[in-house]
Amino acid sequence: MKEYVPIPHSGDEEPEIPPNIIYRWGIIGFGLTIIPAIVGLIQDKVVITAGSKWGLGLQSYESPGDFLSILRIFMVAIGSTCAGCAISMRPKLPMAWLLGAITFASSACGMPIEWDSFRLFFRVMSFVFLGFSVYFYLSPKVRFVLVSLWLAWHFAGILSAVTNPPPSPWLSQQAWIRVFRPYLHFIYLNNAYQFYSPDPGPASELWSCIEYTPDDPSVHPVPTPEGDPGYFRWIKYPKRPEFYRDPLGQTYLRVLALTEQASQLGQQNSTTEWEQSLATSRRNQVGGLFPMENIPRTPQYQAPATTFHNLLVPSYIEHIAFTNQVPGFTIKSIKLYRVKHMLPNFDEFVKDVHGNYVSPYDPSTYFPYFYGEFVPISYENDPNHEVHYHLKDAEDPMLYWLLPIVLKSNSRLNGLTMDQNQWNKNASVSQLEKNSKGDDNKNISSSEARDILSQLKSNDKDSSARFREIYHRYFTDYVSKHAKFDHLRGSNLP
Amino acid sequence: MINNSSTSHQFEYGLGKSHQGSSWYRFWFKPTDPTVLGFIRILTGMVMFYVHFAYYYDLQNLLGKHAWWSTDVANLERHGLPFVAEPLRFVPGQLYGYPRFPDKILNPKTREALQWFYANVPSSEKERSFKLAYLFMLLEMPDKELLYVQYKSNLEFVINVADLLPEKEDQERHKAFKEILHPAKGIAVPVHQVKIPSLFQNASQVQEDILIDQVLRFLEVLGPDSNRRDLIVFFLAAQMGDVSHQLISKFIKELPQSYEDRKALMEYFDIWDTDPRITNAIGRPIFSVWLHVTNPTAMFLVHTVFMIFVVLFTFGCWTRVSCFIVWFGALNYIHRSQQMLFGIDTMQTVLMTYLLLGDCGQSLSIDRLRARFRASKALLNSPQNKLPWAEAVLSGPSPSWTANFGIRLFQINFCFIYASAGFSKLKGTTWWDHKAAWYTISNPEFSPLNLKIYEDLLRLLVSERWLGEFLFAAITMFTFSVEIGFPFLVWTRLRPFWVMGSILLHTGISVIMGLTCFGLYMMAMVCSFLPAALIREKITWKKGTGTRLRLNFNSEDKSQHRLVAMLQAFDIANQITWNDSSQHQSVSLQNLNATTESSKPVLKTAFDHLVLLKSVNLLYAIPFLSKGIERIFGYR
Repeated sequence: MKEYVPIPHSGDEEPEIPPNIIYRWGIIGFGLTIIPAIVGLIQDKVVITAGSKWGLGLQSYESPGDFLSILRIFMVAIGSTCAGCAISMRPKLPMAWLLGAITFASSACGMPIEWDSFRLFFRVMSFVFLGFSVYFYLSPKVRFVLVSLWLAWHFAGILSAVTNPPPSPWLSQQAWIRVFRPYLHFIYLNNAYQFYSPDPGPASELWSCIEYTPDDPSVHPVPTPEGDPGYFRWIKYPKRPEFYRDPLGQTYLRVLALTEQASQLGQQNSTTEWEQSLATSRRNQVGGLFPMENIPRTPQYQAPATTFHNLLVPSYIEHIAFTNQVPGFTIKSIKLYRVKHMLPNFDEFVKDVHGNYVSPYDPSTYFPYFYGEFVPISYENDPNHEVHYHLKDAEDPMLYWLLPIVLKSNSRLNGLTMDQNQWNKNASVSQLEKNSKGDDNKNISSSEARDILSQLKSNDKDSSARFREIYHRYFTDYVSKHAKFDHLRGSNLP
Repeated sequence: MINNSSTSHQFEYGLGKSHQGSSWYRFWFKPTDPTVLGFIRILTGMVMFYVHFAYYYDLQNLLGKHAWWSTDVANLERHGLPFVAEPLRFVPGQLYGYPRFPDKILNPKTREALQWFYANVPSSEKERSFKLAYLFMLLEMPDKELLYVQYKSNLEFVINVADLLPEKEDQERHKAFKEILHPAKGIAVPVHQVKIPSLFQNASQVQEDILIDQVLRFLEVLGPDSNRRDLIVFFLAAQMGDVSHQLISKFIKELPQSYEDRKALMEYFDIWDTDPRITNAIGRPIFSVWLHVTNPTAMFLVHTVFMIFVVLFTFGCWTRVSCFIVWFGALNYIHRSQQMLFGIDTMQTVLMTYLLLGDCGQSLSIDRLRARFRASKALLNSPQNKLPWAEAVLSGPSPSWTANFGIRLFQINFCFIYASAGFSKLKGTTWWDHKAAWYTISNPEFSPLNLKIYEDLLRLLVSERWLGEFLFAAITMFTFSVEIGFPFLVWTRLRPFWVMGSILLHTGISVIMGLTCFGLYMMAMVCSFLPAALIREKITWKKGTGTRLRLNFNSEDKSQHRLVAMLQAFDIANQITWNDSSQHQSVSLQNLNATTESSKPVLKTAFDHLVLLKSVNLLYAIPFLSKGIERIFGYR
């Protein structure tokens, strides 16, 4: 019997794949990309419009749907993968990298002109591959120096990104903008890693009130059968558990990140005092309807950064409109509110001697700021006849002003929230029962407590209507008043 | 056992000893066990699969044409986003920047009017100087000669007088202007009481005529819309100081010659609130398939293809290619919409970039099994079963400089992350008064406060103030000590404590703050500080563990080679003793620990006892899969 036991080895490497196989794959890759590249050079025409150098051109970046373009994309994808495979088989072979560089260069031309971001990717990668082909020709000492230099470059870039958020040193700003920005953007290593700093803040939600017009008023009359001045739907982003669609909440966190973007505020110092007074004077015009409440924990006016006002908010509105189309109805307007959900203070969270407490979801912890009313508009010269949404009134008196939900008096019902499902009814009832027996510790008189208790137990209305009544008994809800529709109702669409 | 004697994967053969002895070389390039990198790859791949699987729920909402951040806006942003750096040197007297524009949010109508004015100034330089001579004269006159009050009154006089002028030919208007300046005796005072400003008061007859012509030409440029004219002039009149006046003058003079370009410039101003001509860069050099593919079916297919590559990457199959494609693919999601990103995407990119550079498929991968299979097959075919390279492959992954390079990149970047996260917190007041811990664990959107039990627990905790304060102080100090202490102390003998502290911190973040995938990515990254032996022996399978087996085969029978080579490839814990004899007609696998002789088929025994196959033996129990597996193993 012959025992076969692996024996200590001398350290030799596995024989490498012969170059001819590598070249074959590389040439196949190049061959597949050069054809679309030639077609591209003939077919693609660059149309330069005024301002296109600043990214304002009206050209479309959507993939063209014609067969030839799709074929070109597939050929480039397969060809560049072949070239990549060739490199992966023998990464130390300079010629493999050179073939890869040529293939990626022709891939850049081979992609349809609308795929400009891929053209950029292939161009960059072709330079990187060219660099590697030279690198493997160089002597070990030079390579050692080159890799060391790259390390210094790479971490200097990371350092510039890390130190870039304000207050930042002048050198860091300059290094980031002038030197490292394209590199770090391309590979997305641009984060400053300053998590939860300087302070952890409240999260932002987005509430939108969509008002609809019925296409056929004889079927859906206005005012509605419930007596509302129109049809509406309130949507709150992101709301648990509706947006928590995967076990680890990845879907929820994505939407939360999106809504959080709306909280990026503009810089007050870029505006003059006179301009700031404009907002106040406009606000005063509607002071009767929406009086300035004394809200200590947050500024009453919070405008976003201009670019967010210009790009982010309209984009969000168009998404909300697109995802809330209702057959038989047309969107009349969308009102958007950025809602800052304040964190409970340490002392507010504690139960008082009577066992009363404030829920972290207490309505008064939500601070809605009006982000504008948007109305649909379609352009005559738009070939796609798409509906876009524009700010109805750029000088709306309440634009970017707080529309608070305030407690009517000092009385507060334990566990009361805006969400009926979340409402801790037991806590409310137990408090009311205590109050009804004479414990008036929270300014709820015993008669008032008995009144609410009987309201809770009565069967003359559905439970959601009873809940809303109780809510409105305790809170003045300016956001519902402003939108004309109660956000607690959700929707009155048939 | 790791092959420590190998020199084959060293950075360079030709590097002199002086270089190889340097601490820089030892730190970055000394060949090391690639197992750590393989382990990080598996963890990353698993989390990545989950993170990207979640996109199936929201593919259209996050990446589609009408996503939150729509493709139109995303394309506009990546082409137009301005980056402006301060100048590198101070040049006395040189004007930098552009004049102030009215705030678009607070003062939108004035902004619109001013943009219209700038877009509609005369095209040629000569005509511009001619028609706006009055404005330029006021703007360029130094403060000492023309007080601000006078500048304002002279400019505002233009709109005051405009309302009184008839809509007639120039000569008539000139005459009417003169009448306003010098009302004839007996003629009623104009309805609008016009105060004659200093320039006109002090002008001679000839100067006055010139001034009148200049004002009339200026009015012509301002257009017939009186509201717009008022807004423009009032705004310009409100600008104070020599510098702002010079900036306006310079800006108007340097406006592009063509109307289209001026209009585009104003459009750019409208969106980005800056002058594209003074930027250092415009747009971001990014790429994404989701900027171009908007058809829902095509999007679904592209996403599914990417998911397949994530699986291949996780298992380490064709790792060099799959890792590149996954790195590239993951960036496609990130570059599509910055708005939906949070810490998880940052960490994912860090992981993928360094896994790509570190050649992460050398260990704990299908690639490694394939290499073992090739080596085993080569050994079977070699005379006297002696082939050094094959023995090297089978005895374990060779140390590699790329593995060390990748691990070091992780370690250094991890230290940057912690240092930045830790030091930046020192700017915040709530981290100093320990409220930050409270705000983090009581955040209703992130923490599990929606669970009644968590809310009650928190309330119970804070009801005793000293207990709450003590706990929040402990959390804050722990966070600081881990984040700030880690980059400095992880290089000392205290490494295990700091690594454990980091894992504890991220477990807390995962559970309390709901950032589970972020926490898992961070834990994957901190694994770069673990010794390879710990992963090899405690997390994977130590050599010599498992049931002892004996494989009877005949190396002279070529038909047995595939099966034998496959079994040897999967024998990662060196469980099999090889018994090669020409008497063996077929391959058989014996359990040496068994007391009784078993006649189980080879593959059944292998799947029951070989540690790697044992972990997936359920697959072999599935009938249609077992046929495929047998074919792959070359088992008949």
